[in-house]
Amino acid sequence: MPAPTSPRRPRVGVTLGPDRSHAALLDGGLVVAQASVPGADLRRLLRALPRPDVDGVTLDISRMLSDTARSAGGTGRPRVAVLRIVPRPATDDALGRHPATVVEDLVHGRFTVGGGSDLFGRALRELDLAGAERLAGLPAVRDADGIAVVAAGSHAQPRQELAVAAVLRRRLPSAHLSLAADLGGQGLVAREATAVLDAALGRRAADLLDEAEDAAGRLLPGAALTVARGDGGWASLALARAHPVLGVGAGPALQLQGAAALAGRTDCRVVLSPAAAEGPAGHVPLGEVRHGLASVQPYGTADLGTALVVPTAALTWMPPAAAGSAAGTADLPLVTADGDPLQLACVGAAVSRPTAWLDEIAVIDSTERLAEVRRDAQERATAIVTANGAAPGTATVVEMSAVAVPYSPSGTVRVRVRIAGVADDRIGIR
Amino acid sequence: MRAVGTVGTAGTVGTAGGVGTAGTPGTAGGVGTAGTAGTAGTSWVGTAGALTAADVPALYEGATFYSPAVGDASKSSLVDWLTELLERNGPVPVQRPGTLDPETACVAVCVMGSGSALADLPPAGDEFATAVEHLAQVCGRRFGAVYPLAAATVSALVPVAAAAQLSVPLLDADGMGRTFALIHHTAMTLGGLSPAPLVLCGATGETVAIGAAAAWRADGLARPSVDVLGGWAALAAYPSSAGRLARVALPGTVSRLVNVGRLLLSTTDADVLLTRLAAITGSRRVGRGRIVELEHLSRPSDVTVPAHPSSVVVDELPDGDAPGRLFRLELRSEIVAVFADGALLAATPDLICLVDVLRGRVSTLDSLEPGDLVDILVTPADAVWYSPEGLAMVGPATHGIPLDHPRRR
Repeated sequence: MPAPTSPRRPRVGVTLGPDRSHAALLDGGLVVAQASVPGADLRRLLRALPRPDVDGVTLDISRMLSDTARSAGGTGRPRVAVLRIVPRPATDDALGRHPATVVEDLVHGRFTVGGGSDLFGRALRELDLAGAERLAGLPAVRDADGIAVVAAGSHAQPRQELAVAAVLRRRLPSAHLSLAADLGGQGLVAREATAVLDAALGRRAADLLDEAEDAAGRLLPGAALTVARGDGGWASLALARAHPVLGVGAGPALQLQGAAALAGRTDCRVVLSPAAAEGPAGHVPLGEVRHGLASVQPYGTADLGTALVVPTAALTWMPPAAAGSAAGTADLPLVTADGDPLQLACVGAAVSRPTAWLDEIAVIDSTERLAEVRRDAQERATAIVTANGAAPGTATVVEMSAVAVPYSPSGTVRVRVRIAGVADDRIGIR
Repeated sequence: MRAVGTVGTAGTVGTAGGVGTAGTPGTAGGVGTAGTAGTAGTSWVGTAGALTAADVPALYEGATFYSPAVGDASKSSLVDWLTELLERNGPVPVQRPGTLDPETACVAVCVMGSGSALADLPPAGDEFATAVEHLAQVCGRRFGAVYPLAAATVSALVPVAAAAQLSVPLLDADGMGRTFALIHHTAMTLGGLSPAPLVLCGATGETVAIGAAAAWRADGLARPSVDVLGGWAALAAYPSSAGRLARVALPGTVSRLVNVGRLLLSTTDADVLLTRLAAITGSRRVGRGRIVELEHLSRPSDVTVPAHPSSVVVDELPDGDAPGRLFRLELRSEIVAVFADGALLAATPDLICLVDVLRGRVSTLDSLEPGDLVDILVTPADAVWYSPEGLAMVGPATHGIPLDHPRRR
């Protein structure tokens, strides 16, 4: 049964993995063909599918990205230098490093630059630009595959990150930089993890997407190629190349959407297979789909064991019996996904849409000002999703919340907005 | 064990309190009767003798239950830091105040300010010990134990870190039994102790020492400095003796965090969780529904209290053919009141929290979204807070809700 929001024209969803890759062709919201190949051979995978006038291909590379991030210790390990801009260095090693092993294993060198701002972007210390200049000359920075720059308060005021980036670009013009401010979100440690992964995955993502663009261009010449995001939406090739971390952890969100689409639901709870994601033994993951998109949250650990600021599927792990009984406590229908997780991911990718997400702090002093803040956030997220491939005028608010930040000065609100659009068939590789 | 600070004359500190008379704040239970919390509280068994690295995850979860104000943005780094500290320095002894020499000087420690600010500006690591040592210099006495000013949220973790760094025991007691908005909203204040002198230390490494003429002046003097220090600061306050704290602090409030935390970690099934929580905390579910609206500036605002008033509207799931009620939750850093179809069901000092039904865990207040399915859970606070003095300090009227507390009708 096709989902009510399923695209009517043929679309292909693909999930690439180091061990097995899978593709599904959907037409009118129904799965009309599937293919599976060993390894990550997209060309072979697309050849195995019938090729009608496909409208678009959404590619899930999350398993490939996870594999790269986890290859720490291997010969192909990316090496990242981290520049943390805070008022002073940590006095305890445990606070000076990142708590997640997967992040720390990627870090080739870690340095503190004096500076930092508060939650509202007010500087707490003058930026030590001379220190940044000195760091740029160190081998651990100079020879890194990527450099992650993260400043306290940079989600509110990116000026210090940008100033350090300018020094690095001047001194190391070929360096691959990831600035935490470009990725947004609250919490320095989670922003740092996101920026480190972004820097580490840059080369691998570029190689994968170059190959994919070539394969899709030859075999599906009319189709727009997009990349699945961790939140179950998709990003343009340009955005995925610039920030590959957006694609991390996409699998579970796509599977939730795929299961809902196959059940003909836009709003439901979904019990996934234990193979859908890594979790405790003997438990199954449970998630929700709202408006056809997976319910997501920041600080999810994806399958890498580290909290990220980019949202991923909100999953709960429960014993199978408890997950089944959850249907009795909810006002939503329960869908049990008993199909191949890779097939579900492909269906979820094929029905996904361009999305954008903002998570910001603002200050309000009146309900009118709050309305302005919400409107401004919505407009900026709409601009982002339109630039990302949504057809103009199609962007709608999937989720929006503004909550008072506890124990902060009166008027401090955290604003989160998630926007989704409809594919603009003028983008991509046509 | 290493004593903290400078050698000096022991004695009473602070400008606002008399010595020795703890007072009896009302009908709902005595202050300082160890292990009892009157009609509204809970007796505790299994008091912790020490906190080890293995206890940290449960401590964190329990602290979230007693104040769901702070989200998870700083969770991993704080848990990692404290775990490593306890592995490196060994377990922290946890003792009731009455088990120490009554003359032992003790100091309260907490995070003053916003958890979101702390997440974006992580501690360097020495702020809490520095605040204690600086206060020791101000007081001219060594501190032989630390205790949480509020045994909830991140403020329950940092006294453990300070105790580990300073090699002193941690008191199994605190001043709030949850969190309230202002630093003088404590059982110690009700018992005649002053928060001052106090010391703040920020992530910048800067410190501020404050003396206050009266307990209620301390917060107003400190909070502007917290803003300048980056939105949060380590606070060392309420210097006192173990003997005095045995009479005025709330006992057993550290041990119970670990107990509740273990329970929270044991299941993700909301129904199972609520049944177990009810058995050991006295909590009750007043309703289950979906969040349908978040509102701001929904009541008159007093700018001396952190966070502006906001409201959450929850549409109760229907029970068979019976339509659900409409709950209105009033927020001010914590959930301060719950109305059901306009009638007041529960109010501060009751501990009111939301449990995410899908995830079977406490919902933090900075991450609520329309569409979330939640259980509304009400837990009685420590008995001292239902006394006339306690309600005058932290009751619903202090948040612009001039109604009798449901437990006092």
